[in-house]
Amino acid sequence: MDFSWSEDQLELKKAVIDFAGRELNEDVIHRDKNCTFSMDLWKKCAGFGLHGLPFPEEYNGLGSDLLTTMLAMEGLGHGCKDSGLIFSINAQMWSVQMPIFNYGTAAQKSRYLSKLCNGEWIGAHGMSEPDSGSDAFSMGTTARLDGDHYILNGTKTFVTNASVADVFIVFAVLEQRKGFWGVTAFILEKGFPGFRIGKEIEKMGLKTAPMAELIFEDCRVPVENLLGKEGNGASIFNDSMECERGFILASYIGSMERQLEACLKQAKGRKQYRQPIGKFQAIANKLVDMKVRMETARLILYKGAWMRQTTGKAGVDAAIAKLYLSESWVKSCLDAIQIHGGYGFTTEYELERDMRDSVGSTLYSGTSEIQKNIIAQYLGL
Amino acid sequence: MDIKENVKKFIQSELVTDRKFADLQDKDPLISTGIIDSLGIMRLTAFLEKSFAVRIHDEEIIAENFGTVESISALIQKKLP
Ligand SMILES: Cc1cc2nc3c(=O)[nH]c(=O)nc-3n(C[C@H](O)[C@H](O)[C@H](O)COP(=O)(O)OP(=O)(O)OC[C@H]3O[C@@H](n4cnc5c(N)ncnc54)[C@H](O)[C@@H]3O)c2cc1C
Repeated sequence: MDFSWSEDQLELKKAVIDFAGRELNEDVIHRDKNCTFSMDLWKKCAGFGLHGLPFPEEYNGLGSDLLTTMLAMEGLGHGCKDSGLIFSINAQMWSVQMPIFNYGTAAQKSRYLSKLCNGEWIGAHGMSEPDSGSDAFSMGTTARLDGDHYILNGTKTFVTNASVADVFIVFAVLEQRKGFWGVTAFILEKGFPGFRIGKEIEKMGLKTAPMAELIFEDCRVPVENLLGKEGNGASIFNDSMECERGFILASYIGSMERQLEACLKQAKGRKQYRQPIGKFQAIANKLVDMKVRMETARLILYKGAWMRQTTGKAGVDAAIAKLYLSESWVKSCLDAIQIHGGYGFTTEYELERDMRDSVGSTLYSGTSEIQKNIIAQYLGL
Repeated sequence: MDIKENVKKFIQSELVTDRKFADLQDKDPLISTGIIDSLGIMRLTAFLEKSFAVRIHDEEIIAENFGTVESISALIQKKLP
C-alpha cells in the first residue's frame, strides 16, 4: 500500500479547504434552524468540480482517482461546517452518479451523469421503504412490463435530496419474480406520470439536506430507463452500497481534524483552577482519543479506497471504514462538547449541530449493527 | 474434482441449512428453494472467484446464472481459459 501524496494532490486538498472555508459557511446556523437547502451553495460546489471529482471529463467530471477524491472530500469536511450540504453531495455522488457511471448505457450517462456532475440536476436514491430498511431486499415496490414501459407501484422513504431532485435511482421488484433475484433498478425523472414526492421528513440533524418520501402510483417508466438488466438491481445496489460504506464518510476525517484543532485551542486557552484545562489529564486524554480515532479512521478510509482502486472491490474494508468512521465521528462530537463545557452546548459554538448531524452516519448506508453483520460474515461466522 | 462437484460441495457444506437438500442434484433449483439468498450469493461469488481464479461481474449476478449447480458451472466454464 502506498498512500503518499503528490504535490498536486495536496494542493487540491488545500484548494478545497480554502474554497469551502471561504464560500460555504455563511449563515449555516440559520440554514440549519430553518432546514434550508442552499441551491446557491450546491452550484458553487459543482462549479468547483466537487460533484464530478471521480468521473471522467467527458461527463463534466475532474477525472480524479479514488484516493485523490478521498483527499479532496476530506478537505471539504475540514473547510465546510455544513454537514448537511456535504451529505447531500456525497449521497448523490456515491448512490446516484456512481451506479449510473458503472451500469448506465452510453445514452444514460450522457443524459444524466453530465448534468449531475455540473450541478444542473440533483440526484436521489430510493431504496428504503416504510416496512423494509436494513432488510432492503424485502421491498414492496413492484415493477411490471407493459409494452415499452415499466409500471411501478409503491413507496420509498428517507430519500435524501428527494424534494429538490430531478433524477432518481429507484429499486423495485419484478412482479413475476419476487425477492432478491427480482430486484431491478430504474432511473426516474421528476414529472414521470404517476410519480410524486411525499411530505418532507423533519429530522434531528443534517437539516440542510432535504429528505422526503417517493410515491409511485402506476408510475410509467420508459424501458430505456432500466439501469442494468432485469433482476440485476440487487448487485447494483450491493455495489453502490460498497461505495457508500467505503467512501461516503471521507469528509468526516476533515471534520474530525477541524474539531480537534478547535478543541486544542480551547484546551490551551481556557483556564480553570489557574491552569489551562488541557493540563488536566482527563481533558488531555479526550484530545488524545480524538487524535487516535481520527488517524486510525483515516488509514482505514485510505485502505478501502486503495483496495477498490487497485482490485475493483473494497470488500470488508468498506464495512470496517463505515463502522469505525461513523462511530468515531459521533464520539469525537461528544468529546468536543465536553471539552468546551457549557459553551459546547450552545448553538453559537456549532458543536451541538455537529453532534446532531453525526448520529445519522451510524444509520444511513447500513446501520452500525449491519456493518458488524457484514464483517462477521467475512470472518465466516 | 470438476467444477460441478466443487460448486455442489461448497453449497452443501456452506449454504444448505435444511437436511432435505442434503442430496443436491445438478438441476435442483437453488433460488426458489431459498438455498441461495442475498447473503448466500455474496459468499458463493467470493468462493467461486477464489477457487477458480475468475472474476464474476455484477451484471452476471442474475437468476439465469445462479439458478442451478449446472448453470453456475456453465458460467465458470465460460470464464476458464
Ligand atoms: C440521514 C439519513 C439519510 C438516509 N438517506 C437514504 C436515502 O437517500 N435513500 C434510502 O433509500 N434510504 C436512506 N436512509 C435510510 C437508511 O438506509 C435506513 O434508515 C437504514 O438502512 C436502516 O433501516 P431502518 O431505518 O428501517 O431501520 P431497521 O432496519 O428497522 O432497524 C432498526 C434497528 O434494528 C437493527 N437491525 C435490523 N436488522 C438487524 C440485523 N439483522 N442484525 C442486527 N441488528 C439489526 C438496526 O441496526 C437498527 O438498530 C437514510 C437514513 C438516514 C438516517
